[in-house]
Amino acid sequence: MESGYNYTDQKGEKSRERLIQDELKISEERFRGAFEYSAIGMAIVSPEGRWIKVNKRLCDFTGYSQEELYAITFQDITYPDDLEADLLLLHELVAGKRAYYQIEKRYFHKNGGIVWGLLNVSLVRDEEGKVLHFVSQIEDITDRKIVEEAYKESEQRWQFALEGSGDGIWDWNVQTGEVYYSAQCKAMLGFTDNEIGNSSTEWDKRVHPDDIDSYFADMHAHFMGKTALYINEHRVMCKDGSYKWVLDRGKVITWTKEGKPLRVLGTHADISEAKEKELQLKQTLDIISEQNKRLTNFAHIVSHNLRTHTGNLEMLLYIIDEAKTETEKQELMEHLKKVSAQLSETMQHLNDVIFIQANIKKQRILLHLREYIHKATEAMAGEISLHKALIINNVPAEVAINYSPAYLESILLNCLSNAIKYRHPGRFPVVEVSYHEEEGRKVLEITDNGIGINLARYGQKLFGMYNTFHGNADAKGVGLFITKNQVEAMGGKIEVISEVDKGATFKIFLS
Amino acid sequence: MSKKQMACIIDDDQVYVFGVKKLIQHYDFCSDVITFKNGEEALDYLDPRKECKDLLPEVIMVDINMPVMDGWEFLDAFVKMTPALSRKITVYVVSSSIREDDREKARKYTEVTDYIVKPVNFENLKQILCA
Repeated sequence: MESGYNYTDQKGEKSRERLIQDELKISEERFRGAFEYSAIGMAIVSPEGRWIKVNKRLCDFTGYSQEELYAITFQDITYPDDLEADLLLLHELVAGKRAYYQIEKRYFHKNGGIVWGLLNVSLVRDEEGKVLHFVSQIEDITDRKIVEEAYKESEQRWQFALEGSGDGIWDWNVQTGEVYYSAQCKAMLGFTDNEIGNSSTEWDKRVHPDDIDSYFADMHAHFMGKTALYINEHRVMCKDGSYKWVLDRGKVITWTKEGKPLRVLGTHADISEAKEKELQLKQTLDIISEQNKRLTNFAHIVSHNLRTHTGNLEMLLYIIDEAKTETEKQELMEHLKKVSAQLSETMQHLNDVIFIQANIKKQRILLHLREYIHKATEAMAGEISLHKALIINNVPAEVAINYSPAYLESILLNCLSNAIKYRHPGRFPVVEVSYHEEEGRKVLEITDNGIGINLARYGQKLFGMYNTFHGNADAKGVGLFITKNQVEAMGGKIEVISEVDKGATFKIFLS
Repeated sequence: MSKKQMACIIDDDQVYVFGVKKLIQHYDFCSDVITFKNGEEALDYLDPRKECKDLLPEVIMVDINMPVMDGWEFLDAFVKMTPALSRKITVYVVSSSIREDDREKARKYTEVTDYIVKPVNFENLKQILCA
């Protein structure tokens, strides 16, 4: 054998050469073995991209046989979107700008599917520095990529769901007090991203004073494990000073070793609109309930009053039949006439009330309050001079209200004549009419120095129909009932403050 | 038929009072009828006469809706007065109200024998005065 011969013949030089050749051979075999049986796909690629040598793993990875791969280039099976980035790096490598490069890229599998590879490329140059070939290692990362993609997708979906819903996200480190507020959290209050710091007090200090207790209590209950989720509805002050209703939800996701809450994740949802609707609904319900109550009450009043008169008629007619003398009959006739007149009056009262209840299309005109008070006192001139009453009109001339003229006249006449009717026997009646605004509502106040009303005793019935309290012969118990109905029909309310023997103040909210 | 000596009507409706008085006289259910326009007037009469058996009515017919002092307020005061009364007084609430609330409220007073809805007629009066 040649090698044996060389080895024996020229011991010194030859044997060393041989040794090197052997080593080369061994190392080449080792490389070939490593190349062939590597767990990673490996290839030697020509400068044009042609596969020169590929290992089994790469064949498995791409689905092609060695022969099939040798007939094509890496460009042929590279996913188009990833080709440019790969070629760019390759050029840099050739240009000597980098020693190797690494890229995650997609390949087309023979079966048409897509596989992900982590590609590592280095190159081998000849003595003149010309590119001989590239050495590529391609690790199959398809499984990891699938998981990553799925995660990214779900993350995107989640993000989209949250942002799409307009909810803000917060992430609170309870131990440091630091909070990450998403841009949406801040935008909800009208702030840009950098206008709000990352401390939990940023939100706390903006919570409405009336809601702050429940806000802290609900979070505390969640920290104590009493609730699975922290849920609280509260108002938060926006940049412009207005308040928004926020549905705040959160959950402790990590705890300290000592069992204290560490990290809390949560969301802010703007529920102002829903709250507004809820409030409107409640108001509507209140109005309807109130109307329903009034109608039931009214039906009872009608029943009661008509029954009183028809009962009396029935009784009187029965007695007339039994009456023996003409004078007796005459007396009964007088009573019948009285009942008939009362019945007519009652019917008139009921008409008045129904008129208010039915008069939905209330005509509103801009009226000067002072002028109307003046007109009312003129209409009552007889009563006023008879009882030496003094009416002080303190309403400024410029006060104008949008009101039904008929109602205003009726309300003023009724209140002023009541003030005189229930005068104190020991002094001349003094009635003061004034105007002010209370929380944006226009309020008319009529104060008298009369006998007053025992509110503890009669307060509840004061504005009821056919309720009289003083035993006055001319008290019908209709006036205040009608006044209240007129005031309420105009969207206002009437209140009374009084002390027996001192006088009474009727507060009429005109809007 | 045990004829009552004295009946008491507390009602602000003068026509009603006139009619009932007439009926009582006509059927001779009762020798004497005293009437008051409201609860307070009735109490003003009854209170000083608690011990004078002959001056107290055996039956009271009280209305609910009255000015100054209504039927309920009268009943509250009357209940407090009962232990001191020298005569057993039967009380009827007589009203035009058909409210179940009122009927229910009247039932809660053990002193009230019955609730009668107006108008009163021969049968009612017989029941009240000849029991």
